[in-house]
Amino acid sequence: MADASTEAAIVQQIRSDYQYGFSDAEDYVFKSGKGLTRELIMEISRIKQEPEWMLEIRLKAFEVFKSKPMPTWGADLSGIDFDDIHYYVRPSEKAETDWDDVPEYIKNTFDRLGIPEAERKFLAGVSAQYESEVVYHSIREDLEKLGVIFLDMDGALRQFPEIVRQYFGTVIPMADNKFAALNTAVWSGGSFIYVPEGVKVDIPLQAYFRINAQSMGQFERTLIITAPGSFVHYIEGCTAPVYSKDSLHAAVVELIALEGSKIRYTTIQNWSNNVYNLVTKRAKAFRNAAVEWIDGNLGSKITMKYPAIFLMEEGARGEVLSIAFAGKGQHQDAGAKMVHLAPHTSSTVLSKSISKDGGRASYRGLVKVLPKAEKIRSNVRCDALILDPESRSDTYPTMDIGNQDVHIGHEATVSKVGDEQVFYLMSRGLSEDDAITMIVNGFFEPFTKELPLEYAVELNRLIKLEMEGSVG
Amino acid sequence: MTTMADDMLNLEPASIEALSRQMGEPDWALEARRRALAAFVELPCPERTQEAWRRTRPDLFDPQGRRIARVTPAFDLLGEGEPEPPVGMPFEQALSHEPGDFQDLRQGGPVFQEKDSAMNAAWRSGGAWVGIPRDRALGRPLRIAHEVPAFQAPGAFFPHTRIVGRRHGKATVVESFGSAEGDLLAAPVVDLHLEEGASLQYVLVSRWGEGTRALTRLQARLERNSQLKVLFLGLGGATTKAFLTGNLEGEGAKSEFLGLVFASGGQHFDVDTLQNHHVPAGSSDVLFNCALNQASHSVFTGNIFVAPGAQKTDAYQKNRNLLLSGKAHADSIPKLEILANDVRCTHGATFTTYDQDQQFYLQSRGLQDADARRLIITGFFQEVIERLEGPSLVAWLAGLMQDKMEASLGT
Repeated sequence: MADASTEAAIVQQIRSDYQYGFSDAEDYVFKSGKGLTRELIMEISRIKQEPEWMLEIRLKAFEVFKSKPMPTWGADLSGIDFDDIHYYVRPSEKAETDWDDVPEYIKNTFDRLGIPEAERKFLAGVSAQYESEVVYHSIREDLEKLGVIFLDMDGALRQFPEIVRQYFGTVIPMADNKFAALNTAVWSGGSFIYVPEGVKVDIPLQAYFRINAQSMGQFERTLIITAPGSFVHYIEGCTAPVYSKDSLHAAVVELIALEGSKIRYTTIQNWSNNVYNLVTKRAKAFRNAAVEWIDGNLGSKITMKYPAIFLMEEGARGEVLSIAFAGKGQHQDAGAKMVHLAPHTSSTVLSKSISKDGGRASYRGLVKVLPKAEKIRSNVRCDALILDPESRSDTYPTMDIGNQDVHIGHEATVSKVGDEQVFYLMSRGLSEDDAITMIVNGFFEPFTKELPLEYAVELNRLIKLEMEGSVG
Repeated sequence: MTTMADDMLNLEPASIEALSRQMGEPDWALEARRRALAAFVELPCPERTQEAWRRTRPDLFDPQGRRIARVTPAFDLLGEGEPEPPVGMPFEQALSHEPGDFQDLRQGGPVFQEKDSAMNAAWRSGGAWVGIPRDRALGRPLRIAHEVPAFQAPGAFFPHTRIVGRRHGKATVVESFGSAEGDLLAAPVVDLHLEEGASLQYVLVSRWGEGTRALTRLQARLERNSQLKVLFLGLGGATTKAFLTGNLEGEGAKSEFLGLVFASGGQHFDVDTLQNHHVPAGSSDVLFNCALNQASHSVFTGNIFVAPGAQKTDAYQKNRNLLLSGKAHADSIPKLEILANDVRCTHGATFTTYDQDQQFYLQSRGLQDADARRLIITGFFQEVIERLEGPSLVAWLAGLMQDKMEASLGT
């Protein structure tokens, strides 16, 4: 628990315009030194009492990580110092199952995030990742009866090692990119969901991620498997306090939608403006399965994230719906990848971005059709608004089409907020600020309406906050 | 009309003096070749890891061990009517006759960014110059034809064409590049300069022979209120890489870049377009249609760049791909890089095969399947060709496309 004097010191570090920028005094069971070594990875694996095969995967991934160059395309990553990062922090001894057992200082953090209220109201399960381990975890009894497994990833590895072993790294191999390799080497926490055949989870499962310690990496690993004919909607929100030093978030999220099942994965990313958010997210959709990534990027210093869907078998369907808001000092380099490996598959991408106060929003995407994949439909649409002359917007789509029998379309527009729209709203009595905020909310509406109510309200509030003082 | 020296020079540093002498150039032109040679030696080879070379192997354009093909272009006028005053001549003649249009070469320039541009300038072996007179509108399109005849050794052909549109002058220029069968590396450079209020339609017909690898660079400079229409027509050659760039440098400039590619057999076309909006109130419009038959491959990369402060920019870019065969492969990378806010920039790309509804409709009107397909392909080309002005030009281009279509589809 933070005492008054440290609280005061921390308050000084807090930037006033980031409402989640509080931070608790650090009080951890284990916090690794800075930098990454083989010994540290063995230590993490030992503390977690992992099976030998997982340690082997981690060590192999560490070698891959060292051998891979930094990406030279996309955002500027020169500010990352891998030797100045804490790779593992565990705040308390074991995952709690009852809210009363959660340590007081962690509760304080979550109280400020509004999690318990949300849970009391109607959440199916809360799995809040406080740094590297899931500290609070609950799932409603009726879901347990249906056989739905919703655990933190470490717990899943202990309780269901065979399922984890069968699917871990099958969607995103460790050598996929440097940050996927890093995650595989040092991963900790994240969610594991298994939905049995035919089960439709009708309320969203939620997790809240938060980075607390300074200069620390967060490397959660999430794996979701939906058995044939099942459905799940998973929501994650991400927040971090503001420190003067940069931190790194490099998650890996793997989704596997088996025949006729559907996964919807919603992210509201609101990291503070000193987080490098470099995330690999990929799904495999099998026969007649559907995967939807709903992806909101508001925070972070730099985000590079391109949720991907591999359409593996006939009838598979993929959808990405994303928004990005790039404010001062931010570069949101986000997009989507659709890989059509089988005939009769379809995909849709709708991306909306706003850049403001010198921020930069980039859409980077791929639509790939393999030669054997015929009867493909794909549609990509990117809209961008630039709110002032200092800001920047880019669109970098790639379409790689190896089959003739396709219908593929891509459209993008970049413009400013329409003068006529602002004029009209002002003539109805709105201030210019309110008029622009209303137009921006309307611009994001196709995204917002896909969110559960409390997230939509929260998003609108965040946008309003970001928009304050945008005129003049 | 078309001539070539019997004793072809080797592509080596020592050849530039002989080349300059054979082409009767002034001394400063040889100096310019020497500077280009130094830059060629200095500049790095392009690598496959570079974005522009990810889909076409740069080593295909290695000039090593080739001999230089020197070609003098032929000039004529399209259509019928009064003869126009001569406004064009071979590039090397213009060096002496119109030195005012070559200030860059006479004053220590230009600065080379790419190894291939320096290669062209060092061993330049052909090309043309056109000066569109001030305040004059030329009625009939001027056609320039470069034909590389058959020869024994692996050849290299480096033409440079420069067109200057003087203030409020207006003209249409068609430039056609062709070659006989045989192993040829062709690397044409085209630069277009439009002064205030000038207006130019420029058509580049790339109809190289089957053994030709072509690396084409076109750069256009548009001053205030000038208007440019460029059409790139990709028909021939084994492998083609083209960079087409419009630099809008004066307010109110308007550029339209059109492209039409019909790829067949194992042909490979890779075209980059870039519209650079450096100043406010410019407009650009790109329309690039690619039809692909057999196992051909096309790549379209288009970028719209809007510099900070280039407000009131209006830019549009569209790429359409018509896939006529199961083995064809098309890539499209339409990009936007926008650093100003008061703009309207859009792009679109589509990939389709024969539209079954269209085909069904045409069949219901009594057309055979093959005829219906031809009609659909023709419509796909007409969309681009009809953006150009001048009935004689449109008819000539439609004929070229028709010939290529018949050759590719068979009867």
